[in-house]
Amino acid sequence: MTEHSLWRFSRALHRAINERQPADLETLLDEDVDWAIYGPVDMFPFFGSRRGRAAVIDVIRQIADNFRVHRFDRESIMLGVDSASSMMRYSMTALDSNKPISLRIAHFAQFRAGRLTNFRVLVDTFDLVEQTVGYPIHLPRMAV
Amino acid sequence: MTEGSHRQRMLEFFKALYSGDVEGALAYVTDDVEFLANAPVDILPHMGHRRGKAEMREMWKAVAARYSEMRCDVPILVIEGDKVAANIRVFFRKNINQRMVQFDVAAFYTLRDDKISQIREIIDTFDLVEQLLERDVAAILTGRRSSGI
Repeated sequence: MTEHSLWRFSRALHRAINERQPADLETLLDEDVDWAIYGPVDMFPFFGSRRGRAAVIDVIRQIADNFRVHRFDRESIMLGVDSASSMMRYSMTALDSNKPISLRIAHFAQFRAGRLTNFRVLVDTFDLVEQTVGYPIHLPRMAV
Repeated sequence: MTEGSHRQRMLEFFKALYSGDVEGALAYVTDDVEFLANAPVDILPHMGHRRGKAEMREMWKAVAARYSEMRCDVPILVIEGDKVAANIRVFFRKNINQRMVQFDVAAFYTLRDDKISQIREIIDTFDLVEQLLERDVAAILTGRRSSGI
């Protein structure tokens, strides 16, 4: 049975982030890959949309410059023929402050011929911002 | 049920929920349905952890009451057995000033006996808060603007 593309991609992604070895990942990205991590780009420049292999490799380098992943647990996973979705809990360290970050992330991946063509990532960004700044952000009590 | 019928049921559920048809949406969930979505409770007090149809009704009615128009697109829907993942793009029009709020939700569903028994959502909550408050919170936090939240 052939291994699902998600597993090769996942291994290569974490190797690219933690070991700064993007070569494996590069071979698994479609030349025209469409990539987006939703979140505040003012605070995290590696969030936002990217198009194409080179742009994605560049953004992975930015993530590697900012975070080290210690572990991740898949809480939910769905594998389609050429698609995959996961909800994961990540434990990381923010390298500039050495702060631990614990984060829930969801992703939607689409593959063609074993290569990633589309990647969407959603993060509980308010939680991420509070952990990054290191204090709770006080919002007005209002139901809107 | 087949993947095709799960897909059809989920699309019907989204249509009911995001048109404000709370009772219609409740017909697609089990009596002991469990919901979890982390969000800042100061401005989204109806979110968090909910269990059972009564609590879901209360939460979905609270949402529907705040918006005059609701709709959604579902650009990605992945189904494997009794599990479903959806990337939902939600469009709400606020009652208070008629402005649109648009945000993406990653929703993961577990089905039991063809009904939804578990819902877990991840939302770009920072963006949602900024849209609801109509303030550039990132600018305040990064010092580009000095006024408090």
